[in-house]
Amino acid sequence: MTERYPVADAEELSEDGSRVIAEIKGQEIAVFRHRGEYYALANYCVHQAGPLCEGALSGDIDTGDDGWDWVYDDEEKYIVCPWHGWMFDITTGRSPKDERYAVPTYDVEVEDGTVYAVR
Amino acid sequence: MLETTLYVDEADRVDGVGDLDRVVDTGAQVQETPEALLEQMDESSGARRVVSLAELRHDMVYAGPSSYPLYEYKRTGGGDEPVATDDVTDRIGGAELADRAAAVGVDAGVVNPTLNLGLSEVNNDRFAVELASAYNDWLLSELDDQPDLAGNAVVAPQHPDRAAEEIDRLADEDDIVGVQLPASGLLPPPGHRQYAPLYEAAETHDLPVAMKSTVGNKSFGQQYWWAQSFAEDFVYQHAFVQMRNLTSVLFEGVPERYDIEFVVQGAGVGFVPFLTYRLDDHYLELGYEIPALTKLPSAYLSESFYWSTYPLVQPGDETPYVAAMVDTVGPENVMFASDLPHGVTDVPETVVDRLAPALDADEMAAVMGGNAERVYDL
Repeated sequence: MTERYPVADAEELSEDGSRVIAEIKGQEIAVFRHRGEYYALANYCVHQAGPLCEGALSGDIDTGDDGWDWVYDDEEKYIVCPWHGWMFDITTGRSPKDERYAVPTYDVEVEDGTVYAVR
Repeated sequence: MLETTLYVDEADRVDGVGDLDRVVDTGAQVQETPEALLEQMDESSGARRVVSLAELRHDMVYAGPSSYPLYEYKRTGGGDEPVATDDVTDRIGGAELADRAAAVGVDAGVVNPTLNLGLSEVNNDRFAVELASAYNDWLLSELDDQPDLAGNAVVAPQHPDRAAEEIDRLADEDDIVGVQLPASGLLPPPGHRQYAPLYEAAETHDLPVAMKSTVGNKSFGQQYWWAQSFAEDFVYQHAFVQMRNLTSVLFEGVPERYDIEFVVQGAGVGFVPFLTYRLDDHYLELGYEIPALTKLPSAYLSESFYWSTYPLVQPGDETPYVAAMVDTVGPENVMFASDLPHGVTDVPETVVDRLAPALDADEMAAVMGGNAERVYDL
């Protein structure tokens, strides 16, 4: 049975790239705003249990069409763990390098100016 | 705990090497000499002239300035006579190697060079190219009457275009089943873009690329120069060389760009779990610097990299740690290698006995021959 928990006023997440970290029954959950949408992740890195969502948001580097150039995709949808740099896509919770590595994600609802995480 | 998770049922094991249909050795070496190579060079060759002026000392042809000349070590039994019955300066061709391999229970083999494992350290590109061709021609003549032996053609990394031409020249020879890219002293490291022609040629001809390490020259970096003995150098060289090379190959995306199987020789399997998980860990930590890959390094290693059993380096107690290592790496990715004809050799009987507790009969057959037959299309 899922419940929803208030985590922030929508005003706190008025900008893309903003985040809040709330505690829900002893578990820290971060809610990010990205391109007008909200995404919630556990504040927990599956690598070595670091506080993942306290890290920086980043884009990612890929090879260009020629297989040679490095191209930076500046869509900052990756959260980078401050401990060892493992990164996860905040929109999916998954590592861009291997989808088997993932952090829990949660649905987010907004009602009457309050942002809720559903757990 | 290791034991309970590791051992396979006795009913599923082999009792010994006698249970195997076929043993294929991927790590034996013929032993070429400067004289043998000179015989393959044209009279008009400048390299022939210069090599002949080097008094045919192998260490002058292959090694840079070194505290210990290549292979100038002698193991003695306490007296004056060396334990090993022959020296690296002796020529050991196909017939002699076939006899020695048969004597220890090897049914077939893919052979490598000896001196030319130091080819990457030859400073002069022209000599290196010519030494490779001379060795390959000598090898072909030596394998002519040896139905159970095939060989890797050695290529000079100093000139990747010529290396590609050499692969083109030899690929249709029945006795050439792979390419040997000498691992030690390989600069720039093998993930560098300069090797593209070499890899393209190997891929075109569907030949695996073997990389065997050697020791005693200027192989691994600055620290080598402070080795105070051959022994001090010998202990660590092979694994460090392979780890450095493979990190380059993986992080520069070689297995992403080319459909090639790699055979990593000379360092055993002990370093492989460490390297594998370190590659994965750093790919996940620093993946933005490694955009050439589309999956974990371990996935590429599992798909297309093969590890030689030699040297086994078995600890002194009964617990089958080496078998555990082979189990960790994956028996489908491990190939038996003896390092014949050198004095320090792992014979099939030893390897089978060491690995038997942790491999079932099918896995053992794969390690001792099946994997090599598949990869080298024997």
